[in-house]
Amino acid sequence: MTPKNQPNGPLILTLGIFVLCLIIGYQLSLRRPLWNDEIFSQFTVVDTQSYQDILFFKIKNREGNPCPLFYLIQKAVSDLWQYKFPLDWHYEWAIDEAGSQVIMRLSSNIFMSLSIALLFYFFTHYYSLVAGIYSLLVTLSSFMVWAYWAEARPYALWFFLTTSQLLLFLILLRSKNKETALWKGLMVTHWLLSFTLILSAIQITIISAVLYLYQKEKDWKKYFWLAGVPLGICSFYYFNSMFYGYSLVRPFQLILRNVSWQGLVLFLMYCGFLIGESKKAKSFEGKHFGIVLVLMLVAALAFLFVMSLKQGGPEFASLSERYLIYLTPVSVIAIVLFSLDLVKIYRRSSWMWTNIVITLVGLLLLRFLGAYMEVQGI
Amino acid sequence: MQKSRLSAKTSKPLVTAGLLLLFAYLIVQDFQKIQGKPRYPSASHFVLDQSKVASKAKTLTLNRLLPKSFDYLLSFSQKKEPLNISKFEEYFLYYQKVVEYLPGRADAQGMLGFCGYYLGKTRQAQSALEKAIAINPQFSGFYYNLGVIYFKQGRYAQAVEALKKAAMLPPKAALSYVLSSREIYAPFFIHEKDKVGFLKEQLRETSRQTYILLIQSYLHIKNFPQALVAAKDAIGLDFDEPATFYYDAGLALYGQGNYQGSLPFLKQSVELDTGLADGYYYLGQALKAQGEENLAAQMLRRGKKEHQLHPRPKPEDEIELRIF
Repeated sequence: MTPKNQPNGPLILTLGIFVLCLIIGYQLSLRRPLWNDEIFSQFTVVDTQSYQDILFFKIKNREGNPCPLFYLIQKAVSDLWQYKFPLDWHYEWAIDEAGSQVIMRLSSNIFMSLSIALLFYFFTHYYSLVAGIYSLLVTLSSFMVWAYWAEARPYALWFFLTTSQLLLFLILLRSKNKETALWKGLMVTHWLLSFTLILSAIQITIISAVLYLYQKEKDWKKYFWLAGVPLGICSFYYFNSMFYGYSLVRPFQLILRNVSWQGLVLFLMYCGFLIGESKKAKSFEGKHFGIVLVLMLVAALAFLFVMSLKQGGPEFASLSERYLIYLTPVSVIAIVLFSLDLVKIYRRSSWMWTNIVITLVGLLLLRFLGAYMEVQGI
Repeated sequence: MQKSRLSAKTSKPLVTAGLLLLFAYLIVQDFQKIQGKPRYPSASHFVLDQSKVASKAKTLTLNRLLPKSFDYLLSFSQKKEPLNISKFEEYFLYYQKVVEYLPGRADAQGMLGFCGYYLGKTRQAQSALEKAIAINPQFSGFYYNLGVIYFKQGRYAQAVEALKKAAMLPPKAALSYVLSSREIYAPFFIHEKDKVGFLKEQLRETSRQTYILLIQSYLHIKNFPQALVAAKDAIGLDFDEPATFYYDAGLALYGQGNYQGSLPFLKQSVELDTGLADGYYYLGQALKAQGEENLAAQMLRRGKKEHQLHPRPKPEDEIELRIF
C-alpha cells in the first residue's frame, strides 16, 4: 500500500470520536428538560423574529447579548426542520418535550462535539496518539463541557469558535512561513466570534497581540482585518445592547469552574519548572501559549473587577461562569501543552518522569471527580 | 559523600511514595464527598435544572400551579378590573410555592406580598416585601409597596422611611431588574411591542405615586420642610399632572405659616388644574391671611363650587400597590 492510499488513522479516530460525542450529546439533550432561558430565546427570538431583525439589533430588548450568529443558526436549524416551539409557553419553569430538547440543542451538540474532536485531532496530528487521548480526557474532565454541551444557548458555539481560534493560533506559531490560508482561517474565526458575543473582543485582542509579538507577519493591514474589523463589530453590537444588572457572587469560583484548581496547580508547577530550569527554556514549547493563558486570566479578572464596580442586580441574576467559558478551551490546551512539555523535558530522568506522570494522572483523576461533583451540585 | 548518596537513594522513592499517598488521599476525600453528598448552598446558574430546584417533581408542581394567564393581575393593577378574590388566590398559591422552592427570589417574594395584601393577609404581605428588600435592596418597587401598606395603616413615619428609599433608588436599576426577571415579571410585559418603553412608563408612574405618598406622609406627621423638599423634587422631575405637586408645595409652606411663599405654588396648582377644589380653598386662606379679602372670598367660593360640582377623591386615596 502506498502512503497515499493509507487510511488517515487520526482522521478516522477523530470522526469516530465526533460521532460518539454526538450520541452522548443527544442523550444529554433527552435527559435534561428545557429550562426557562432556552425556551425564552426560542420563543421570543428564534420563532418570532426574522433573519433581518436578528441581524440588525431588533433583539436587543429581548436578549442581553444582541450578537446574531447563534440566533441565526438556531433559526436556520428550525427552518430546516420546519420546527417551531410546539407548546403554548406560559412561562413554565422547565418543560419536558423530547423533540424540542433535541432540535433546539442540535447546534450546541454539534459545536461541542466538533470542539472535542478538533482538540483530539490537533494533538494526535501534531504530537502523538497518547497526546490526543490525553487531550480528550482533559476536555471531558471539564465541568463546563458537560454543563453547556446540551443547552440551546450560544455557549457551545463560543466554545467551538474559541477552540478553533486557539488551534489556528498554535498552528500559525508553529509554521515558519506566512501561511495565508491559516491567516484567513483565523480572520474568519475572529469575524464569527465578533458576531457571536461582545465579550469575544477580549480574546480577539489577546490572540492578535500575541501573534503580532511572535509572528513574522507585521503588515498592519492584515491585523486590521484580523482584529480591527471584528473589534468594530463587537463595539457596534455593544452600543446596541441592553445592560442588565448583575450581582457578583464568589467571583473566583467563576474562574475556577472554567480552569479548575487542578489546572491552576499545573500552571504554577509549569511556571516553577520554567523558572527553575531556565537553561532548558528553549525546550518549553508551551511557553508562548503560557503568555496567552496569563493574559486571558488577567482579562477575566479585569472583567470581574469592572463588573464588581457596575454590580447592582438581583441575586438570582448573578454573573455566571458561562460568561468566562472561553477560559475552558484555553485551560484545556494549556494543560495538555504544559503536560507534554514536562513529560518530554524529563524523559531522561526516570525518577522525575515518574513523579510528573503520577502528578498528571492524579490531577486528571481529581479533575474528573471535581467536574462530576460540580455537575451533581455536590 | 557516601552518606549523601545513600540519603538521595532513600529520599527519592520517599518523594514518589509521598506523591502517590497525597493523590490517593485527595481522591478518597472526593469519593467520600460524593458518597456523603453534602451540597453547595447555591450553584450560580442552575436555577432549575440541577441544584436549586433539585427535583423534577418541584418543577412539575410549579408548572401545574402556574396560572394560565397573568393578564388579570396586570389589568387589576391598572384599575381596569375589579378585585376578584378567587383569581387572586390562584396567583397567591403559585407565588407561595415559588418562594417555598426558591426563597432567594426577591421578585417572587414581592409578588407574594402584592397578592397577599389584596387577600387581606397584610402581615404576610408585609413580611414577604421585607424579605424581598433584604434580598434585593436595589429595587424601588418593593419599598413602594411596603410604603403603601404602611400609609394605609396610618403608620406615616414608617411609610416615609420606605417611600424615601423608593424615591432615592435609580430607575435604571429598577428597569434592569424587571427586564432580567424572566420567570416572574416577564409575563406582564412580554407581549408589549415596545417592552422597554412600556416598562419605563410603568416605573415612572410608580415613581410619581411614590412622591405623592411621600409628601402626604410628611404632611401627616407635620414635617412641612421635608414635604416641601419632596414636592419641589417632584416638580423638578416633570411628572404628568404636576398640579398636585404645586398644591403640595403650597400646602407645605402654608403649614409652616409662610402664606406669602405658598401663594405662587397654589396659584400655579389651580392654573394647571382648574378643578382643584382644595387648591382654591388654600389659596383663598393664604390670600385672606395676606389681607386680600376680596380675592380670597372669590377663591373660597370657587373652591366650594368645584367641590360641589366635581367632587373627586384625593390622589393619595386612589393609590394602590403596583406590580413594578
